[in-house]
Amino acid sequence: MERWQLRKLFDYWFVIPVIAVIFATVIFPLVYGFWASFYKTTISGNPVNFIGFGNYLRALSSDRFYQTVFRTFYYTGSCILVKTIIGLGAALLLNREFKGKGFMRGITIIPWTMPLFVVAIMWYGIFEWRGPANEGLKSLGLPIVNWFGYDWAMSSVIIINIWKGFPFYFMGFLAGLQGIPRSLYEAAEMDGASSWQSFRNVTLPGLRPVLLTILMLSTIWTFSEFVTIFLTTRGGPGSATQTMAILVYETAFGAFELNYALTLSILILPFFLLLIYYTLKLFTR
Amino acid sequence: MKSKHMMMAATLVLVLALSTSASTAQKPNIEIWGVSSFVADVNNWVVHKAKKWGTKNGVEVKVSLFPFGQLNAKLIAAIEAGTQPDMCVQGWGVGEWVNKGLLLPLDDVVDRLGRADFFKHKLIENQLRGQIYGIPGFFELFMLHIRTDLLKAAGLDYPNDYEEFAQIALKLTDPKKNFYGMGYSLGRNFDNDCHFLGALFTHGGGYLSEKSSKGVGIFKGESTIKALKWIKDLYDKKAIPPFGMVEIGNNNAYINGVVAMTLNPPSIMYALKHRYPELAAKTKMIPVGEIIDGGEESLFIFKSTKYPELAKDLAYYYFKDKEDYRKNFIEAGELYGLPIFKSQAKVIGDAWKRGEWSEWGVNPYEMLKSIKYVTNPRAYPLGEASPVADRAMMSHLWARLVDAVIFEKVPIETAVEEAHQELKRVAKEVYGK
Repeated sequence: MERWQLRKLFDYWFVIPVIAVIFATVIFPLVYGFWASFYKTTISGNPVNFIGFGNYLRALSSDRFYQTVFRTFYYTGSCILVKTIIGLGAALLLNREFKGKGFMRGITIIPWTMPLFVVAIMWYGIFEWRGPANEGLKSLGLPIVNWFGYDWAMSSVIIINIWKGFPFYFMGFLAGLQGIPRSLYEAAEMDGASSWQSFRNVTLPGLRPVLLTILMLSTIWTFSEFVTIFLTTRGGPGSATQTMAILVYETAFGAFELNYALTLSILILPFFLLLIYYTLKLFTR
Repeated sequence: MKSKHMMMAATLVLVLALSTSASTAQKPNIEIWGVSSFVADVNNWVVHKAKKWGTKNGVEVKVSLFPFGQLNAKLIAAIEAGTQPDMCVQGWGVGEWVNKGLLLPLDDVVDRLGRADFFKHKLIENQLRGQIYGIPGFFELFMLHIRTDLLKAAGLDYPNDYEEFAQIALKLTDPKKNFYGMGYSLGRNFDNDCHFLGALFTHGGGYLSEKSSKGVGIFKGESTIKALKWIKDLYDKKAIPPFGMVEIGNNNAYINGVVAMTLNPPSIMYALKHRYPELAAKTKMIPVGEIIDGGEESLFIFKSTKYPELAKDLAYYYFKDKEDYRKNFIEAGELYGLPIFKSQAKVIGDAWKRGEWSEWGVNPYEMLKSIKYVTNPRAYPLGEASPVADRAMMSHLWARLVDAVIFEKVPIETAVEEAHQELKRVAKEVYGK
């Protein structure tokens, strides 16, 4: 063997630990989950009682599964949309020059820095029957709202997610705005572009890379959101706030059906893969 | 010179560390997991008792207490990973774990403690296939907490059954003042599950009569329909507040003076006595309908323990001094839980006769003798622990059924049929037929 070939072989040895770590932390859990989903149960981590596609057929023929998927998309979509609007609005406002700009930027990111369980408990108190939200409505002469009741529970958990999550959008958009060259706006102005035209043709295209990254990350996080929903409504009342994360948890740790819970998780995996695929595709355009 | 000193110090530290670890390694060790009670004294008792036994027997004991509702999630994950503790104190899921062949039978411990002194119906909540797999911690009775001042002002007497309970609730409801007769937990929580089971059993129903999927046929009976109608009727007539959506919803509603009555374990009374003595003085706890015992928390030992005999001895030690158990566990919690031993319940009953524990409208000892139902893991009317009971409760099947009828406006018969199908599937999985 030539010296250079030996050298190359030697180099590969250095890559092995990385491959081993990726295999152990990424590939193995995925393969294990997929394998276990073909079994009825597990005992001490060992799947037993092979049932083939039984778990998949059960999930795909269950109304509860489809309703939960729809509810999760509704929750995720609503949160993402509003967070994008508020985050962009806040970034545009706080990208201007004014006194106290730094302080305002600091205040805006506070919700993002708070632990999820603190946020959940705090909003639980705010939305209590006699909490500040209803006291505020009463003082305005408006009817009070049963925030965690069946009709309002989904809106309430969406509000909580938006409050907690919009600063992430704000920070991303602000960084993106600061990366757009001033000269582009000046050129647009010289061409007689209106504010709206500048926003549409300069700001939005300039924010595109950052927007895609934020949307992809935020969709993954929001889709999987568990803590705030579990701590406030546990997925109820009824199934009003039962998202996939809650259903999977309840199936695994409430109904003691770990393998079926794994199946449910695997069934939503294609959504994430598609999301990542399209986002990467958009990046390369 | 300096480096020489440092070298000596480092060597000394190393030798000390090695000798410490060596002595620790020689000691047997027992790991205990449990549910953290809202009563600090009870938690202290659980930890202190284990440590004391450990010191006496030269055993390293580690106790970890987790918040209510989290223990099972941790246990399931640990069991899958093979890292479960040696034993659980105030743990859940005996039916499920026995079904998976994970627990040790504890009949010998029960015999050492005096089998005859246990309330039989309490002891057999952890019985499967004729063996006892868990020692129950306490009774946790769903008592009707009732505002005596409001009852008196309205010229009403205590309810004797669910019919009277509903009538009184309606009479005490005042929608204009946002005041409700009955605090009933709605939403996905264990109180809702227990409230439903109380209504179900009181109306003569059950959910598992034999160890097969056929055994859940009983759930489709008229009693289930009646129980749901009873709840729905009260909700539709606005006798139940719409905001009791979380575990402590009905507790808070009662403590805040928004409801006249609610069914709950005496944790409400504990809070009232400690924080709202005026309201405590106006509150009585009485039984109504079939009393539900929600105290499924039990001590159990995993087969995987390296030290089964030591663990059993610790289990025995926990309850050996029954007076200590009564004073520092039961009475420290203001009778939030009632004792599992007849001898200790009798002491409390005698004290009640002397005028102590006057918030109890009836003699607790006499009442314990009349309990028929334990919510979990004992399935009714099967009469022994069953994973079907565990799974139904832990996945909030009962609460989801009530919510479907109340909020999602699903016709009662349809909702019952859906719940029945779910029960049937679970029973088939558990019993294989």
